[in-house]
Amino acid sequence: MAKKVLIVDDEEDVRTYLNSLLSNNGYETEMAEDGEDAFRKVKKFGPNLVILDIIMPNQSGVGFYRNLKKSEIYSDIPVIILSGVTAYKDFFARERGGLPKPQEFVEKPFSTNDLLSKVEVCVK
Amino acid sequence: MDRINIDGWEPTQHDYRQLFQKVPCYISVQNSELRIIQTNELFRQDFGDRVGELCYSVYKRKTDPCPECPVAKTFADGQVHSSEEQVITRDGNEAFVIVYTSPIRNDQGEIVAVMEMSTNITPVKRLQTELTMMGHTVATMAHGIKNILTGLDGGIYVVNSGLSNRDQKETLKGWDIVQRNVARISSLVKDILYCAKKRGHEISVIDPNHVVMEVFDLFHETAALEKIQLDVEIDPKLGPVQLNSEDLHTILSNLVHNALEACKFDLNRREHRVVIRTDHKGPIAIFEVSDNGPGLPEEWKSYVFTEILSTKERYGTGLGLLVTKKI
Repeated sequence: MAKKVLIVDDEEDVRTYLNSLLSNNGYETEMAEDGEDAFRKVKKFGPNLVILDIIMPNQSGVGFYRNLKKSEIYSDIPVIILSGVTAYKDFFARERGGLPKPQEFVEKPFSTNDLLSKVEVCVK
Repeated sequence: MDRINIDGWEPTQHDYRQLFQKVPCYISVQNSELRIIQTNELFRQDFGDRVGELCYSVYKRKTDPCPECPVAKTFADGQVHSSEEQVITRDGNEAFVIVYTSPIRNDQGEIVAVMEMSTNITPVKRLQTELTMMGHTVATMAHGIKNILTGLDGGIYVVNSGLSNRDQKETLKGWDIVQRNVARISSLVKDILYCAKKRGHEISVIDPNHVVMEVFDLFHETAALEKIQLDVEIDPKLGPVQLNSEDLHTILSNLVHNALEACKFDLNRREHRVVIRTDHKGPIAIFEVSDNGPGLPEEWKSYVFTEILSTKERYGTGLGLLVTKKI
Protein backbone atom coordinates (compact mmCIF):
# COMPACT_ATOMS: atom_id res chain seq x y z
CA MET A 1 0.00 0.00 0.00
CA ALA A 2 1.27 3.46 -0.92
CA LYS A 3 2.65 5.55 1.93
CA LYS A 4 0.79 8.77 2.58
CA VAL A 5 2.50 12.16 2.57
CA LEU A 6 0.82 15.40 3.60
CA ILE A 7 2.30 18.44 1.82
CA VAL A 8 1.88 21.70 3.76
CA ASP A 9 2.91 24.86 1.92
CA ASP A 10 1.07 28.12 1.28
CA GLU A 11 2.57 28.45 -2.19
CA GLU A 12 0.50 26.65 -4.76
CA ASP A 13 3.50 26.24 -7.08
CA VAL A 14 5.42 24.36 -4.41
CA ARG A 15 2.41 22.20 -3.54
CA THR A 16 1.93 21.31 -7.21
CA TYR A 17 5.63 20.52 -7.56
CA LEU A 18 5.77 18.26 -4.50
CA ASN A 19 2.49 16.62 -5.39
CA SER A 20 3.77 15.75 -8.85
CA LEU A 21 7.16 14.61 -7.56
CA LEU A 22 5.78 12.37 -4.82
CA SER A 23 2.91 10.96 -6.89
CA ASN A 24 5.36 10.02 -9.65
CA ASN A 25 7.39 8.18 -7.03
CA GLY A 26 4.53 6.09 -5.72
CA TYR A 27 3.32 8.10 -2.75
CA GLU A 28 -0.26 8.99 -2.00
CA THR A 29 -0.48 12.70 -1.34
CA GLU A 30 -2.74 15.28 0.20
CA MET A 31 -2.13 19.03 0.31
CA ALA A 32 -2.77 21.78 2.84
CA GLU A 33 -2.12 25.50 2.55
CA ASP A 34 -1.62 26.48 6.19
CA GLY A 35 -1.27 25.03 9.67
CA GLU A 36 -5.00 24.95 10.45
CA ASP A 37 -5.83 23.27 7.17
CA ALA A 38 -2.97 20.83 7.76
CA PHE A 39 -4.28 19.71 11.13
CA ARG A 40 -7.70 18.98 9.66
CA LYS A 41 -6.02 16.98 6.89
CA VAL A 42 -3.89 15.05 9.40
CA LYS A 43 -7.07 13.84 11.10
CA LYS A 44 -8.80 12.99 7.84
CA PHE A 45 -5.91 11.67 5.74
CA GLY A 46 -3.75 9.98 8.41
CA PRO A 47 -0.37 10.64 6.77
CA ASN A 48 2.80 8.62 7.34
CA LEU A 49 4.83 11.83 6.88
CA VAL A 50 4.28 15.59 6.81
CA ILE A 51 6.41 17.87 4.62
CA LEU A 52 6.07 21.23 6.28
CA ASP A 53 6.76 24.79 5.18
CA ILE A 54 7.17 27.31 8.00
CA ILE A 55 6.02 30.77 7.04
CA MET A 56 2.35 30.52 6.19
CA PRO A 57 -0.71 32.62 6.93
CA ASN A 58 -3.33 31.72 9.57
CA GLN A 59 -1.24 29.16 11.40
CA SER A 60 2.48 28.98 10.70
CA GLY A 61 4.48 25.78 10.42
CA VAL A 62 5.85 26.35 13.92
CA GLY A 63 2.32 26.46 15.40
CA PHE A 64 1.24 23.38 13.47
CA TYR A 65 4.38 21.48 14.51
CA ARG A 66 3.77 22.32 18.15
CA ASN A 67 0.14 21.14 17.97
CA LEU A 68 1.12 17.98 16.15
CA LYS A 69 3.86 17.03 18.58
CA LYS A 70 1.71 17.81 21.61
CA SER A 71 -1.12 15.71 20.28
CA GLU A 72 -1.50 12.30 21.93
CA ILE A 73 -2.68 10.64 18.73
CA TYR A 74 -0.51 12.22 16.03
CA SER A 75 2.77 13.05 17.75
CA ASP A 76 4.57 10.07 16.18
CA ILE A 77 4.05 11.30 12.62
CA PRO A 78 7.50 12.25 11.26
CA VAL A 79 7.98 15.75 9.87
CA ILE A 80 10.37 17.11 7.27
CA ILE A 81 10.73 20.88 7.47
CA LEU A 82 11.05 22.38 3.99
CA SER A 83 11.95 26.05 4.15
CA GLY A 84 13.97 28.65 2.32
CA VAL A 85 14.81 30.41 5.57
CA THR A 86 18.02 28.77 6.72
CA ALA A 87 17.69 30.32 10.17
CA TYR A 88 14.97 27.76 10.88
CA LYS A 89 17.58 25.04 10.63
CA ASP A 90 19.23 26.52 13.72
CA PHE A 91 15.82 27.18 15.26
CA PHE A 92 14.85 23.50 15.01
CA ALA A 93 18.34 22.17 15.70
CA ARG A 94 17.57 21.70 19.38
CA GLU A 95 14.53 20.72 21.37
CA ARG A 96 12.25 23.62 22.11
CA GLY A 97 9.84 23.66 25.02
CA GLY A 98 9.91 19.88 25.33
CA LEU A 99 9.16 19.39 21.64
CA PRO A 100 11.24 16.81 19.78
CA LYS A 101 13.36 17.89 16.82
CA PRO A 102 11.87 17.34 13.37
CA GLN A 103 13.21 14.31 11.48
CA GLU A 104 14.82 16.36 8.72
CA PHE A 105 15.36 19.91 7.51
CA VAL A 106 15.48 20.46 3.75
CA GLU A 107 16.39 23.84 2.38
CA LYS A 108 14.64 25.33 -0.64
CA PRO A 109 15.58 25.09 -3.45
CA PHE A 110 16.08 21.39 -2.96
CA SER A 111 17.41 18.48 -4.95
CA THR A 112 14.64 16.03 -5.80
CA ASN A 113 16.91 13.04 -5.08
CA ASP A 114 17.84 14.43 -1.67
CA LEU A 115 14.22 15.05 -0.72
CA LEU A 116 13.05 11.66 -2.03
CA SER A 117 15.76 9.80 -0.12
CA LYS A 118 14.81 11.61 3.08
CA VAL A 119 11.13 10.91 2.50
CA GLU A 120 11.92 7.23 1.97
CA VAL A 121 13.82 7.03 5.26
CA CYS A 122 11.10 8.86 7.18
CA VAL A 123 8.18 6.71 6.03
CA LYS A 124 9.93 3.38 6.72
CA MET B 1 68.25 61.16 14.05
CA ASP B 2 64.76 62.65 14.42
CA ARG B 3 64.99 65.36 11.78
CA ILE B 4 66.97 66.53 8.73
CA ASN B 5 68.28 70.08 8.79
CA ILE B 6 67.19 72.27 5.92
CA ASP B 7 69.71 74.89 4.90
CA GLY B 8 68.75 78.26 6.24
CA TRP B 9 65.91 76.96 8.42
CA GLU B 10 66.29 76.08 12.06
CA PRO B 11 62.82 75.35 13.47
CA THR B 12 61.94 77.62 16.33
CA GLN B 13 59.46 77.14 19.15
CA HIS B 14 57.07 79.20 17.04
CA ASP B 15 57.38 76.70 14.19
CA TYR B 16 56.60 73.79 16.49
CA ARG B 17 53.61 75.70 17.85
CA GLN B 18 52.44 76.26 14.25
CA LEU B 19 52.81 72.53 13.60
CA PHE B 20 50.69 71.72 16.67
CA GLN B 21 47.99 74.16 15.56
CA LYS B 22 47.85 73.05 11.95
CA VAL B 23 47.85 69.25 12.36
CA PRO B 24 44.70 68.02 10.55
CA CYS B 25 43.27 66.17 13.54
CA TYR B 26 41.83 67.15 16.91
CA ILE B 27 44.48 67.68 19.59
CA SER B 28 43.76 68.40 23.20
CA VAL B 29 46.17 68.36 26.11
CA GLN B 30 44.60 67.29 29.39
CA ASN B 31 45.60 67.25 33.03
CA SER B 32 45.02 64.37 35.42
CA GLU B 33 41.47 65.59 36.15
CA LEU B 34 40.81 65.18 32.40
CA ARG B 35 40.47 68.95 32.15
CA ILE B 36 41.47 70.39 28.79
CA ILE B 37 44.47 72.73 29.11
CA GLN B 38 45.34 73.27 25.46
CA THR B 39 43.74 72.62 22.06
CA ASN B 40 44.70 72.99 18.39
CA GLU B 41 42.90 74.87 15.61
CA LEU B 42 40.81 72.00 14.21
CA PHE B 43 39.64 71.12 17.70
CA ARG B 44 38.51 74.71 18.30
CA GLN B 45 36.84 74.82 14.91
CA ASP B 46 34.69 71.73 15.58
CA PHE B 47 34.28 71.85 19.39
CA GLY B 48 34.80 75.51 20.28
CA ASP B 49 37.20 77.17 22.66
CA ARG B 50 36.78 74.77 25.59
CA VAL B 51 39.98 75.16 27.58
CA GLY B 52 39.29 74.58 31.27
CA GLU B 53 36.40 72.19 30.64
CA LEU B 54 36.32 68.45 31.23
CA CYS B 55 37.13 66.25 28.23
CA TYR B 56 34.05 64.00 28.52
CA SER B 57 31.80 67.01 28.84
CA VAL B 58 33.24 68.60 25.70
CA TYR B 59 33.50 65.51 23.51
CA LYS B 60 30.47 63.58 24.68
CA ARG B 61 28.32 65.99 26.68
CA LYS B 62 28.49 63.56 29.57
CA THR B 63 28.74 64.18 33.29
CA ASP B 64 30.99 61.19 34.04
CA PRO B 65 34.30 60.05 32.54
CA CYS B 66 34.22 57.31 29.91
CA PRO B 67 34.72 53.85 31.45
CA GLU B 68 37.74 53.00 29.26
CA CYS B 69 39.31 56.45 29.10
CA PRO B 70 42.60 56.24 27.15
CA VAL B 71 43.88 59.46 28.74
CA ALA B 72 43.41 58.04 32.25
CA LYS B 73 45.19 54.86 31.14
CA THR B 74 48.16 56.88 29.87
CA PHE B 75 48.32 58.80 33.15
CA ALA B 76 48.35 55.44 34.95
CA ASP B 77 50.99 53.57 32.94
CA GLY B 78 52.73 56.16 30.73
CA GLN B 79 51.98 54.14 27.61
CA VAL B 80 50.29 55.12 24.35
CA HIS B 81 46.64 54.02 24.28
CA SER B 82 44.04 54.11 21.57
CA SER B 83 40.31 53.71 21.27
CA GLU B 84 37.46 54.36 18.89
CA GLU B 85 34.94 56.87 20.16
CA GLN B 86 31.74 58.58 19.11
CA VAL B 87 31.76 62.29 19.83
CA ILE B 88 29.41 65.24 19.31
CA THR B 89 30.67 68.37 17.60
CA ARG B 90 29.65 71.90 18.59
CA ASP B 91 26.87 71.94 15.96
CA GLY B 92 25.39 68.72 17.30
CA ASN B 93 26.69 66.34 14.63
CA GLU B 94 27.92 62.92 15.67
CA ALA B 95 31.42 61.99 14.57
CA PHE B 96 33.49 58.84 14.88
CA VAL B 97 37.11 59.32 15.91
CA ILE B 98 40.15 57.16 16.53
CA VAL B 99 41.93 58.44 19.60
CA TYR B 100 45.62 58.08 20.43
CA THR B 101 47.10 59.33 23.67
CA SER B 102 50.66 60.11 24.59
CA PRO B 103 52.22 61.24 27.90
CA ILE B 104 53.85 64.65 28.34
CA ARG B 105 56.62 64.48 30.94
CA ASN B 106 58.53 67.15 32.87
CA ASP B 107 62.32 67.22 33.30
CA GLN B 108 62.04 64.70 36.13
CA GLY B 109 60.19 62.27 33.85
CA GLU B 110 56.91 62.68 35.66
CA ILE B 111 53.72 62.71 33.60
CA VAL B 112 52.26 66.19 33.90
CA ALA B 113 49.75 66.02 31.09
CA VAL B 114 48.50 63.73 28.33
CA MET B 115 48.09 64.68 24.70
CA GLU B 116 45.01 63.25 23.03
CA MET B 117 45.03 63.16 19.25
CA SER B 118 41.78 62.19 17.50
CA THR B 119 41.33 61.52 13.81
CA ASN B 120 37.85 61.92 12.38
CA ILE B 121 36.93 58.66 10.63
CA THR B 122 33.23 59.42 10.07
CA PRO B 123 33.41 59.05 6.26
CA VAL B 124 35.10 55.65 6.67
CA LYS B 125 32.43 54.60 9.16
CA ARG B 126 29.69 55.65 6.76
CA LEU B 127 31.28 53.57 4.05
CA GLN B 128 31.48 50.63 6.45
CA THR B 129 27.76 50.95 7.22
CA GLU B 130 26.97 51.08 3.51
CA LEU B 131 28.99 47.92 2.95
CA THR B 132 27.21 46.14 5.79
CA MET B 133 23.88 47.22 4.33
CA MET B 134 24.97 45.91 0.98
CA GLY B 135 25.83 42.57 2.58
CA HIS B 136 22.38 42.40 4.15
CA THR B 137 20.75 43.33 0.88
CA VAL B 138 22.61 40.56 -0.92
CA ALA B 139 21.48 38.07 1.76
CA THR B 140 17.88 39.18 1.26
CA MET B 141 18.17 38.91 -2.50
CA ALA B 142 19.62 35.44 -2.15
CA HIS B 143 16.64 34.39 -0.07
CA GLY B 144 14.16 35.80 -2.59
CA ILE B 145 16.01 34.09 -5.41
CA LYS B 146 15.95 30.78 -3.51
CA ASN B 147 12.15 30.88 -3.43
CA ILE B 148 11.95 31.67 -7.11
CA LEU B 149 14.39 28.89 -7.95
CA THR B 150 12.21 26.43 -6.06
CA GLY B 151 9.26 27.62 -8.14
CA LEU B 152 11.23 27.29 -11.37
CA ASP B 153 12.52 23.84 -10.40
CA GLY B 154 8.95 22.88 -9.67
CA GLY B 155 7.64 24.26 -12.96
CA ILE B 156 10.30 22.46 -14.99
CA TYR B 157 9.66 19.22 -13.11
CA VAL B 158 5.91 19.40 -13.72
CA VAL B 159 6.41 20.28 -17.42
CA ASN B 160 8.76 17.29 -17.84
CA SER B 161 6.41 15.03 -15.93
CA GLY B 162 3.49 16.17 -18.14
CA LEU B 163 5.52 15.59 -21.29
CA SER B 164 6.63 12.11 -20.30
CA ASN B 165 3.10 11.17 -19.18
CA ARG B 166 1.73 12.76 -22.40
CA ASP B 167 -0.55 14.76 -20.13
CA GLN B 168 -1.21 18.15 -21.72
CA LYS B 169 -3.06 19.44 -18.67
CA GLU B 170 -0.10 18.70 -16.42
CA THR B 171 2.33 20.20 -18.96
CA LEU B 172 0.34 23.43 -19.08
CA LYS B 173 0.16 23.53 -15.30
CA GLY B 174 3.96 23.27 -15.17
CA TRP B 175 4.33 25.94 -17.83
CA ASP B 176 2.11 28.26 -15.78
CA ILE B 177 4.44 27.78 -12.80
CA VAL B 178 7.47 28.58 -14.96
CA GLN B 179 5.81 31.76 -16.29
CA ARG B 180 4.74 32.89 -12.83
CA ASN B 181 8.24 32.51 -11.48
CA VAL B 182 9.80 34.33 -14.41
CA ALA B 183 7.41 37.19 -13.55
CA ARG B 184 8.62 37.02 -9.94
CA ILE B 185 12.22 37.38 -11.12
CA SER B 186 11.18 40.43 -13.10
CA SER B 187 9.49 41.93 -10.05
CA LEU B 188 12.48 41.19 -7.82
CA VAL B 189 14.88 42.81 -10.28
CA LYS B 190 12.69 45.93 -10.31
CA ASP B 191 12.82 46.04 -6.50
CA ILE B 192 16.59 45.64 -6.54
CA LEU B 193 16.89 48.53 -8.97
CA TYR B 194 14.54 50.63 -6.83
CA CYS B 195 16.79 49.98 -3.82
CA ALA B 196 20.02 50.57 -5.69
CA LYS B 197 19.00 53.83 -7.32
CA LYS B 198 20.27 56.93 -5.61
CA ARG B 199 17.30 59.08 -4.85
CA GLY B 200 17.15 62.65 -3.80
CA HIS B 201 15.55 63.21 -0.46
CA GLU B 202 14.18 66.67 -1.03
CA ILE B 203 13.05 68.07 2.25
CA SER B 204 10.08 70.34 2.57
CA VAL B 205 7.78 71.52 5.31
CA ILE B 206 5.08 68.88 5.74
CA ASP B 207 2.31 67.99 8.14
CA PRO B 208 3.53 64.65 9.54
CA ASN B 209 0.14 63.78 11.02
CA HIS B 210 -1.31 63.97 7.52
CA VAL B 211 1.23 61.36 6.31
CA VAL B 212 0.36 59.16 9.29
CA MET B 213 -3.33 59.32 8.35
CA GLU B 214 -2.47 58.37 4.77
CA VAL B 215 -0.63 55.30 6.04
CA PHE B 216 -3.56 54.47 8.32
CA ASP B 217 -5.96 54.70 5.35
CA LEU B 218 -3.68 52.43 3.37
CA PHE B 219 -3.67 49.66 5.96
CA HIS B 220 -6.88 49.84 7.97
CA GLU B 221 -8.84 47.57 5.62
CA THR B 222 -6.09 44.95 5.55
CA ALA B 223 -5.92 45.07 9.33
CA ALA B 224 -9.68 44.68 9.65
CA LEU B 225 -9.59 41.63 7.36
CA GLU B 226 -7.04 40.04 9.68
CA LYS B 227 -9.12 41.10 12.73
CA ILE B 228 -6.31 43.33 13.95
CA GLN B 229 -7.20 46.66 15.48
CA LEU B 230 -5.21 49.42 13.79
CA ASP B 231 -5.23 52.73 15.68
CA VAL B 232 -3.60 56.12 15.35
CA GLU B 233 -2.68 58.29 18.29
CA ILE B 234 -1.90 61.70 16.93
CA ASP B 235 -0.07 64.35 18.86
CA PRO B 236 -2.16 67.45 17.98
CA LYS B 237 0.67 69.71 19.06
CA LEU B 238 3.04 68.21 16.51
CA GLY B 239 3.21 71.01 13.98
CA PRO B 240 4.76 71.12 10.53
CA VAL B 241 8.22 69.53 10.26
CA GLN B 242 10.96 69.53 7.65
CA LEU B 243 10.95 66.06 6.13
CA ASN B 244 10.63 64.19 2.88
CA SER B 245 7.00 63.05 3.00
CA GLU B 246 7.62 60.13 0.62
CA ASP B 247 10.41 58.81 2.86
CA LEU B 248 8.24 59.13 5.95
CA HIS B 249 5.40 57.33 4.16
CA THR B 250 7.74 54.50 3.12
CA ILE B 251 9.18 54.09 6.61
CA LEU B 252 5.80 54.04 8.35
CA SER B 253 4.28 51.72 5.73
CA ASN B 254 7.09 49.22 6.12
CA LEU B 255 6.84 49.27 9.90
CA VAL B 256 3.04 48.96 9.93
CA HIS B 257 3.21 46.14 7.39
CA ASN B 258 5.71 44.28 9.58
CA ALA B 259 3.66 44.90 12.73
CA LEU B 260 0.53 43.49 11.06
CA GLU B 261 2.45 40.45 9.86
CA ALA B 262 3.82 39.88 13.36
CA CYS B 263 0.29 39.94 14.80
CA LYS B 264 -1.02 37.69 12.06
CA PHE B 265 1.41 34.92 12.98
CA ASP B 266 1.01 35.27 16.73
CA LEU B 267 -0.87 32.31 18.16
CA ASN B 268 -0.57 33.27 21.79
CA ARG B 269 -3.07 36.11 21.78
CA ARG B 270 -6.53 36.49 20.33
CA GLU B 271 -6.82 40.26 20.18
CA HIS B 272 -4.13 42.17 18.38
CA ARG B 273 -3.54 45.86 18.13
CA VAL B 274 -1.16 47.96 16.08
CA VAL B 275 -0.75 51.63 16.93
CA ILE B 276 0.81 54.39 14.86
CA ARG B 277 1.71 57.19 17.20
CA THR B 278 3.15 60.67 16.82
CA ASP B 279 4.71 62.68 19.60
CA HIS B 280 7.23 65.42 20.08
CA LYS B 281 10.04 66.17 22.48
CA GLY B 282 11.10 69.78 22.13
CA PRO B 283 11.97 70.30 18.46
CA ILE B 284 12.17 66.54 17.78
CA ALA B 285 9.24 64.80 16.09
CA ILE B 286 8.70 61.21 17.21
CA PHE B 287 7.03 58.51 15.12
CA GLU B 288 6.31 55.16 16.68
CA VAL B 289 4.71 51.96 15.42
CA SER B 290 3.98 49.40 18.10
CA ASP B 291 2.17 46.07 18.16
CA ASN B 292 1.22 43.53 20.80
CA GLY B 293 2.49 40.63 18.71
CA PRO B 294 5.01 38.15 20.03
CA GLY B 295 8.10 40.32 19.46
CA LEU B 296 11.24 38.71 18.16
CA PRO B 297 12.55 35.59 19.86
CA GLU B 298 16.02 36.19 21.27
CA GLU B 299 17.66 33.83 18.80
CA TRP B 300 16.17 35.72 15.86
CA LYS B 301 17.32 39.17 16.83
CA SER B 302 20.59 38.89 15.00
CA TYR B 303 18.62 38.28 11.80
CA VAL B 304 16.84 41.63 11.87
CA PHE B 305 17.48 43.41 8.57
CA THR B 306 18.71 40.14 7.11
CA GLU B 307 16.98 37.12 5.69
CA ILE B 308 14.64 36.08 8.50
CA LEU B 309 12.40 39.05 8.02
CA SER B 310 12.29 38.64 4.30
CA THR B 311 9.73 35.90 4.11
CA LYS B 312 8.15 35.14 0.80
CA GLU B 313 7.48 36.88 -2.43
CA ARG B 314 3.74 36.87 -1.84
CA TYR B 315 4.31 39.06 1.19
CA GLY B 316 6.67 41.42 -0.63
CA THR B 317 10.31 41.35 -1.46
CA GLY B 318 11.59 41.48 2.10
CA LEU B 319 13.33 44.72 1.40
CA GLY B 320 11.08 46.80 3.64
CA LEU B 321 13.31 47.07 6.68
CA LEU B 322 16.39 47.50 4.55
CA VAL B 323 14.77 50.40 2.72
CA THR B 324 13.63 51.81 6.07
CA LYS B 325 17.13 51.58 7.50
CA LYS B 326 18.58 53.11 4.35
CA ILE B 327 16.26 56.13 4.57
